[in-house]
Amino acid sequence: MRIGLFLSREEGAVSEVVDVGALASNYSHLTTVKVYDNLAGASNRLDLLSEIGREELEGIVLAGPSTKYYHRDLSGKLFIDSIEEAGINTNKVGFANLKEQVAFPHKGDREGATAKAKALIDVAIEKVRLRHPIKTIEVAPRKSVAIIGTTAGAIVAAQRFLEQDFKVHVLAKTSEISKTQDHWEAMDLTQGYVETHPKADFHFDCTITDVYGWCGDYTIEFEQDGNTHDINIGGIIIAVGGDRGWTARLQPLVQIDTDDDGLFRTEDPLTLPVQTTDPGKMIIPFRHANSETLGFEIASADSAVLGLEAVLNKKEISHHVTVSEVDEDLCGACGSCVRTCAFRASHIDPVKQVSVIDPRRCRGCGNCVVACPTQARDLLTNPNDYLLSAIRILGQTPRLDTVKILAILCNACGYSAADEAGYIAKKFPDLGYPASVLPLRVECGGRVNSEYTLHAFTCGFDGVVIVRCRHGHCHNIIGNRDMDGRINLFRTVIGSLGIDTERLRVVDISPKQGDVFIAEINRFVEEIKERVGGGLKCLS
Amino acid sequence: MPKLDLAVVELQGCFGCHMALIGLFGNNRELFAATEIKYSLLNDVKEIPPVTMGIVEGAVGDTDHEEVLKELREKADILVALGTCAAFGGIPGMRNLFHVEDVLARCFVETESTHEGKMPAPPGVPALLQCVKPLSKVVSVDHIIPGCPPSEQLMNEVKALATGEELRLPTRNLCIECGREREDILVPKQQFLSDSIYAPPELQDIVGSTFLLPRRTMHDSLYSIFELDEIDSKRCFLEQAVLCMGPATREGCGARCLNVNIPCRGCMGPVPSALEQGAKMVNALATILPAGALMLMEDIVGTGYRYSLPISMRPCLVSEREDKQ
Repeated sequence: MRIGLFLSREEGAVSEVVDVGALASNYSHLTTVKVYDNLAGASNRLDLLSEIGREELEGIVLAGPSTKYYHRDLSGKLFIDSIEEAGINTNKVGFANLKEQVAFPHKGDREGATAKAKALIDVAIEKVRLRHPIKTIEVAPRKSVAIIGTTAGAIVAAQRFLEQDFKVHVLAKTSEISKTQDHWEAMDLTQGYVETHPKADFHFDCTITDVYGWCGDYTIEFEQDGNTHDINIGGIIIAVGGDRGWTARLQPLVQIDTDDDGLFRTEDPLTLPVQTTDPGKMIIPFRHANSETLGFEIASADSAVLGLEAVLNKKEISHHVTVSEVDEDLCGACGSCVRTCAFRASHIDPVKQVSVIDPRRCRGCGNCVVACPTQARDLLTNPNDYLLSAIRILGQTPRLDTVKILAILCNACGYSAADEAGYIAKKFPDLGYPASVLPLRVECGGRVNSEYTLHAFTCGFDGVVIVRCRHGHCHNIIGNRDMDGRINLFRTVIGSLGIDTERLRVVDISPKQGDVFIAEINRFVEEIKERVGGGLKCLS
Repeated sequence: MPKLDLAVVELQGCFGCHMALIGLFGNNRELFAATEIKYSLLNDVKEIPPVTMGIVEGAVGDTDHEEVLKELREKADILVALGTCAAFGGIPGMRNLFHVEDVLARCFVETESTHEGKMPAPPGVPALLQCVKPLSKVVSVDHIIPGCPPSEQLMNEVKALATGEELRLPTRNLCIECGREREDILVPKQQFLSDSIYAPPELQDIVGSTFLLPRRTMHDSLYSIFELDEIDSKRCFLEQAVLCMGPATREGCGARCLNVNIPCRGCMGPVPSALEQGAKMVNALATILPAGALMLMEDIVGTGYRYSLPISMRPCLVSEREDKQ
C-alpha cells in the first residue's frame, strides 16, 4: 500500500523535544516521508495535497498536532475534506499526536518522547493499513427545519428560515409562546411574522418521543392530544433556553451533551459556539439574564441559521457509514446488539435471521460491535484487528521506565482531556506525566472490548487505564455505563485468573480537566510502580 | 477400495467421545465396514502402527499424554482432535486455575473422605503438567471437532474426513439453533432484561421436568433464597434471568441441552473469531443483564471458561515461564 507520512515540527514545539529527523529516517520504506515546519500554512498544505496526486498515495499519516486540532473548527474539517477530494478515503487518513500527547507532557524526556512518537506513528500507519475505506451515502437535504422551543432565539431562527423559503416546524411543550423573557416587546413583530407565515407550523403541547436520522434527513416523532405524529426535516435547532427539566428529557433523544448546569453544551464554546457534533443540529445556548441576553441570543440564532442553511442549501450531503454490514456466516441473531443499542439502530431480520443496521439511526459508537459475541460486525473507524494490533505495537515499545501503561482514551472526553493535559504541561514546566504511558484512542467507552485489557497485559503492559466521560456525559448516552458493566465484571474474571485487579483502572473525566488527567495518570503510575516492586510479574 | 486405517487414543478425558464414536459406527454400518481400527483401548496392540487417521479424545494433562500424542502425530497422516477436551482443554483445563501441588494435595490429602492421605509418588507414574493443554499446543492438529461429546451431526464430519472431504464446522453462535421464543431481547431498551440472574451451577431441584431456582437479586446476600421460580421451557433463558452461554458459544450441537430445558454451558467452545469465550460472554451480557448480580456469582471463571480456559489468553494461573524458573 502506498502510504505517505507527513511530519510537522510544529514550529519547534515538537522538534524541541522529539528528534524529528531521526524519527523520519525510520520510515524510508514508505512511499513518501516529508517534514514540514507546520501543516497549517498554505504552501505546505498545497504541497501535501499535490504530493498525494503525484505519488498516487492510498493513505496518509499526519504526525504533529492532535486529531482534535482538525475537528475542532470548520477550517480543520475543510482541510480533511480537501484531502478526501484529493483522492484519499477518510478512513485512510491517520493521525499521530506528537504535540499535545508527546512533546508537551514529556518535554524533559527526549529519549522517551522520541520512542513514544515512533510508537504512535507506527500505530497510525497500522490504522491506515488495516482500516477499510468507508462508504458514503449521498442525501438530498430537506428544505425544512424543526425548532425546539419558543425562546426569543427560536422565534428569530424561525423568521430567518421562513424568509429563506424553508418550511419551519416549531415544537413547544407549552400551549402558547410564553413571552416571559426580558425585553420580549422587542420580539412582537418577529413573533407576528412567524405566527402568520403559511410555511410555519406550530405544534403546541407536544411531547417529543423520538428523534432520529442524519443531517439533511431527520424524523421527529411526538405526541399531541393523545395522537402520535411525525415530521421529516433537514435540520434541527434546539432553543429551549434555561429549561433544565426539558433539556434532561430531550437529551437522550437528541443525543447532545449537557454541561454541569444541566444545559446543552456546544461542541466548543470558542470556535464552534452553536454547533454540535452532528452538523444538522444546532443549539442556541442559554446565557443567564442580563441586559445583553437578548442580543446574544439573536446573534446565536443568526449564527445557527447561517450554519445550518449552508449545509441544507447543498445539493447533496455525504454521510459516512461507519458500521460494517453483518457477516451472515457469523451472526446467529442472538439479539445482543439489538438490546444494547441506545439509538435503536439494530434489529433482527425475521426472515434472514441476521442483524441489520439502520445507518440513519447509527451513531458509530461501536457498542453493538463489542456486544456482538461472534464479531459478526465491526466498527470501520476502530476495527477490531486494528485495535488488537495497535495494543501489540504499543506493547513492543522499548521499556525505558520500570512500568509501561496503556491509556485507552474515549474520543469525547478522555482524548480531549489528554490534549488539555498537554497544554497544561506546556504552561507549567513542573507538570507532566511519564512517556511510558501510551495512548490509544477509541470511539467511545462502549467500544472497549474487555478482551483488550487482558490482551494488553499479555502484550507487556503493567497497567491499563481507561479514561472516559463522567456519568451522564457520555456522547453516546450509555457507552460509559455499558463499559462499566463489562469492565467491572471482567475485573472479577481477571482477579479469578490470578491477575491483580488494581492493574486495571477507570478514570472519569470531563474534556477540559487536563489537570485531573495529569494527577490521575501519575497516581496510577506510582501505584503500579509500587506493585511491580512488590513482585508483580509482567504477563508477556 | 482400501479400508481407512484408524488409531484412536484416549488422553485426559472421560471416554464420552469414545462412546460417541462407538455410536457413530453402530449407527453407520457402511462406515464401520469401510474403516479398520488398528489401535485403540480395545485392540491388544502395544505400539501405534502407521495409520491414515489418528483420533484423539481428551486433553494433554501429564508427560505420558505428551509422549503418546507426539508418537501418534508421527504415525498418523491426519490428526483429529475429537471433543472439547482435545480441542480446547475442556473440563480438565479448569485445574489450570490452581497450582499443580495444590491440585494433588486436594485430591489425595484434603478431601473430606480421605483418611490419613499422603501425596502419591510411586516411581514410573507420569508427572502432571502444570497446565492442561489442548492438543494444538503440543502438536499440529489437522481438524478439531468440538462438543462434549460432539453431536451426531458433527460426528458425521468424521465420515466426511474419511472420504477426503473438507471439514466444515458451523461458525455462528448457538442462538441460531435454539428454538426457544424470544421477545424482550429483540426490543432495544436501556434497561436490563431482568432484575436478577441465576447461574447454571445454581440449578437446584428438579420437580417433574421443571427446574426450580433460587431467585437472587443484586441486593441479596449470596445465598439468600426467598422465591422459587419455574423455568418456562419454551422461552429464552436470558429473558428469564438464567445465565445461558448460548450467545458466546459455537453452534453445531443441535441445542441439545436447551431442548431439555437446561441452559447452555458453552461446551462447543468459543465462536471462531473470539479470543476469549468468557470475555465474549461478559461483553455481550453485561449490558443486558444486571452485571452487579453477575459479579456476585461464586464461580465466574467456571461459568465463562468452563470448557475453554486452556485456549484463553491467560490459559494458566501459573504461567509456564514461571513454572520453568
